[in-house]
Amino acid sequence: MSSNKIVLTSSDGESFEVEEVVARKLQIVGHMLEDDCVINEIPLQNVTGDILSMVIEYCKTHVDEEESEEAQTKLKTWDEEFMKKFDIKTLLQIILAANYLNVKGLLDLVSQTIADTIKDYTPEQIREVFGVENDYTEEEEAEVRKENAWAFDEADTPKP
Amino acid sequence: MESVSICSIDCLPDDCLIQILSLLPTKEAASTSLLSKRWRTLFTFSPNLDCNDSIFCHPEKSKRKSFRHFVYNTLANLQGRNCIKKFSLKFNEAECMSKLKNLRKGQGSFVVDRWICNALEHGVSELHLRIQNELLWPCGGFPSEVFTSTTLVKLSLGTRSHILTIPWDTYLPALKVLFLDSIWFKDDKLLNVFLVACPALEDLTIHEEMYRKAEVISSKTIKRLSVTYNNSEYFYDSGIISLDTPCDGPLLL
Repeated sequence: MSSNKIVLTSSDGESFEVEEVVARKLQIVGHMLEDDCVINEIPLQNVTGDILSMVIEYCKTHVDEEESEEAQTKLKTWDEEFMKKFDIKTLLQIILAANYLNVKGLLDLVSQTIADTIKDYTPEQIREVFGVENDYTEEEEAEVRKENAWAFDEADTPKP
Repeated sequence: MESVSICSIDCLPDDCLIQILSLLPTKEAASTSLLSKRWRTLFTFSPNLDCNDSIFCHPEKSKRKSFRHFVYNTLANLQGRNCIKKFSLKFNEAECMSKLKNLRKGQGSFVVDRWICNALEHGVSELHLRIQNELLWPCGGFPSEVFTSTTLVKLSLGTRSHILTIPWDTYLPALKVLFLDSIWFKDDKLLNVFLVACPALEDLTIHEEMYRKAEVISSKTIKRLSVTYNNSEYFYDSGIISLDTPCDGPLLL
């Protein structure tokens, strides 16, 4: 039964044939299969083929999560290498896809990777790298600085 | 169909951003309030609080005040919205007192203890404490509530070679993971009081700077045990912890 194949189709029309156990790692697919067990082709509207292929790669690797310490360490190393392949822009697309497809392990992994990146940046750098537009007025910004004064080091404070 | 390309983290829903922020130490998470209006209060929704005394005892009064105000508000607001899951705190009273000349003995500990109790009252499930007090409280630096929590699942305690006396009514029914860093128990209390009081314990890690005397660790539920020493020279002398557990999982010694 478990060797049943399912075709996942991305928003840009790319199709991926995967085993049912792999497809079920995408919880959105799992739910669909539970509702109606005869589906074998599933269109996924909010994710493009290039991103979907990476999500599938993750799910294939994590398909049987073994408890043993050795298996866990191996998976962890794989996860690290996997994350190294992507730039910020791709990571953001993957996290968005993982959120939509509901792949918890991948969501946690990318969140951690992004958190690790943010950790060493000043607010200015975060804005630049992650494309955040500053919509504060000068007065508002000063107010936030005062409100959370404890969170800012001298280095982050602009010279008057 | 054209693919929508996203280049900004602002394309992520709030839930995702809060998850990312919850993985940062609280100070770094809070510094994102400066990014834009959307980010101003996002960090306050993180279920984790991770603080250390570098802010608690910051030489600048305005920083100390705004930080205490933040922790107080966060803990006070808990009832209203999402609960607190993880609370980590590093506090060294002696260091704080050397930085803040007017800090009275016990004053800082009083505040810190209140925070810990507050977090426990709100059902925190992970508590990580590295606390060194000037005064030795009955429990060697930790409020006694830590030892009677029904919600704690993970607990790590660290001091520097304090001898820990634990309350007689210690009972941690939900505790699964315990990490003890350089904690010495009076009268073998680790064995005949602490471990007995943790009926669900699965994972025990003990870290010592140096020597630890021979002990038998006895538990019916432990699946993973790890004992580490900072100074490997001592390892050979002290590899005498013997085990009495029915565990079949990996034991790391």
